[in-house]
Amino acid sequence: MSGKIWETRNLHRLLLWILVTVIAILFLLPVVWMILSSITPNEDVIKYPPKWIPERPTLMNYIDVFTTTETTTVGRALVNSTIVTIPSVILTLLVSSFAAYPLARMRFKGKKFLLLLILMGMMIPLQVSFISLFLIFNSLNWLNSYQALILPAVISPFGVFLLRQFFLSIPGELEDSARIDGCSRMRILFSIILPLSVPALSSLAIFVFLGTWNSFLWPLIVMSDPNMMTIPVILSYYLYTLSGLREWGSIMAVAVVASLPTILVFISFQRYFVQGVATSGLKY
Amino acid sequence: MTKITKRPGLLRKRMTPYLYLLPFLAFYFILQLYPLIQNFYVSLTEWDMMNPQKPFVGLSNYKTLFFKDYLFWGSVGATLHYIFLNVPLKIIIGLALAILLNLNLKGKIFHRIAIFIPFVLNTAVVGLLFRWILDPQFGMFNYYLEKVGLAPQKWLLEPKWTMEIVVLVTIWWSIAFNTIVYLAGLQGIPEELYDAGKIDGCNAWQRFLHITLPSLKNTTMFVVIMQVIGSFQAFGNIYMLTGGGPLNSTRVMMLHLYQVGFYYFKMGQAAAISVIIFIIVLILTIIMLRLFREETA
Repeated sequence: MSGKIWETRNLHRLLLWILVTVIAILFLLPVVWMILSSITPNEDVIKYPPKWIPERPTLMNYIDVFTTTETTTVGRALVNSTIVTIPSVILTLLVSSFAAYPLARMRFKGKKFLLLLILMGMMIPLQVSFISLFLIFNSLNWLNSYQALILPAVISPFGVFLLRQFFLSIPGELEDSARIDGCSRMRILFSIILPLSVPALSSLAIFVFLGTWNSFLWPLIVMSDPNMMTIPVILSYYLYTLSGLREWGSIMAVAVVASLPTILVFISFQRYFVQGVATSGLKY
Repeated sequence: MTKITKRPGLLRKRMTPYLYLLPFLAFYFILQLYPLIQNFYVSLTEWDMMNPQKPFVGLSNYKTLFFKDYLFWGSVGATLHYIFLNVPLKIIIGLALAILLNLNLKGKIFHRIAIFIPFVLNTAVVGLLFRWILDPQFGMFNYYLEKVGLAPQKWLLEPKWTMEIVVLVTIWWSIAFNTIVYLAGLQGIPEELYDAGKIDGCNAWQRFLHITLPSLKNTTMFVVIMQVIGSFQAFGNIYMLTGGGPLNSTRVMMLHLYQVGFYYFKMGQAAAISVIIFIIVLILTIIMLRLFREETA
């Protein structure tokens, strides 16, 4: 009898396993198709019926992307995206750690109010103030500048909140003994709190990295000079070529190049990524 | 004597927390709160980029939107259409995927990576990729439709089904968020509850209805509000897939705002649209916080 129950249980699990695996493969197929199209010559990619495996696989599309005069902007855009993303990540980590520390560890007037303000900031999307933000950067003559993308990226109420929650979980005794030994607050933050907070800092770093690298609407608004555009903005310009040329092979090569950094970061730090998203949802 | 020497130290000590908070608060006030308030002011002026004068016009921008701009009401309709398709589907599918991923089946790392990967692609990539897959002439999708005996369609070029397609692509791209939040919620449910249910003779479906769903109430509320707020801000996915077309059927509020502001440079009117979006989002946020307080009180 118990053997039969065990069998039906296993059968259930097998069926569920097949279901999940099919779903996972379906989710992956568009990405696979993007990669396969990118190594198919432009003439072959629009042959009907479409073929998954290219008959004449080539890296020509990738070479073209970086060498044709029309597309040298892609290389430039990758550089721009990097120049914007790295300082955004570092600055956000610093600014958020500094803000989270007193909110977790010190007593002072107005703390409750500030926490509420930060929670509010998590709810109010930056997007609703893009018009006046644009006018401000315009009046500073900062359109088409890197700081136009970096500075707004540094405001991360979510980051402050995430780090504060994590700092709260670090036992206070460590800090007390360090203070008795005469360590300054700054030294405690840098030599005790932050080294213990690597998981939370990693989650936040991945978030800011993905958010800045993939940011679309704001860069589309402030970067009108092709030399300053980030990779998603350059990609949006391919829309205008779609009606005429159908160089899907080349376009997919640019798409792969644009996605590679985020996919690599995601796969290598999958755990921190999942933890970060989970915290954003759990702590309300 | 001691009092005098102590004071500066005390002041410094009192100031310390604020000094740590200063950089963040400076960014927060200058780049988030101040623009938010200035936005209200801009919405009350005729802020034409060409005209150096910015005359104060009261509520005239709002009047224009409400009574003269049929595209604005169209964008409200498109946004609601998007929300009513997007939010329920993403909740149901997000929860279903979370339950499946929580079963600890073989190869779960592969399953997770495959389902979460689309989430890290940027909207421009997602838009171009699906324009290619759905290409009426050469696309993979029509090819397989024909193979199973269905008529190929001019996807994204005819108003019919376009919003549905946009939402399906959006689900593929962003379902990871809901799935991860639900996964965390599921892992927070104590195992003993399920054991007790089994002892009481509940089958899997009953356990889902009476244990899983009630335990996920808070999570679901959070996800619903995040999705609704997020849907009001939808821009990149729609801009890249349809540009608001065909025949304005997918022209949501953010797309309308973008065109009014950055094609026609009517900043006052665009600011008015963002104020309207802000007020809607604010009301939803307040409702959520209220519900949450009742829930935990």
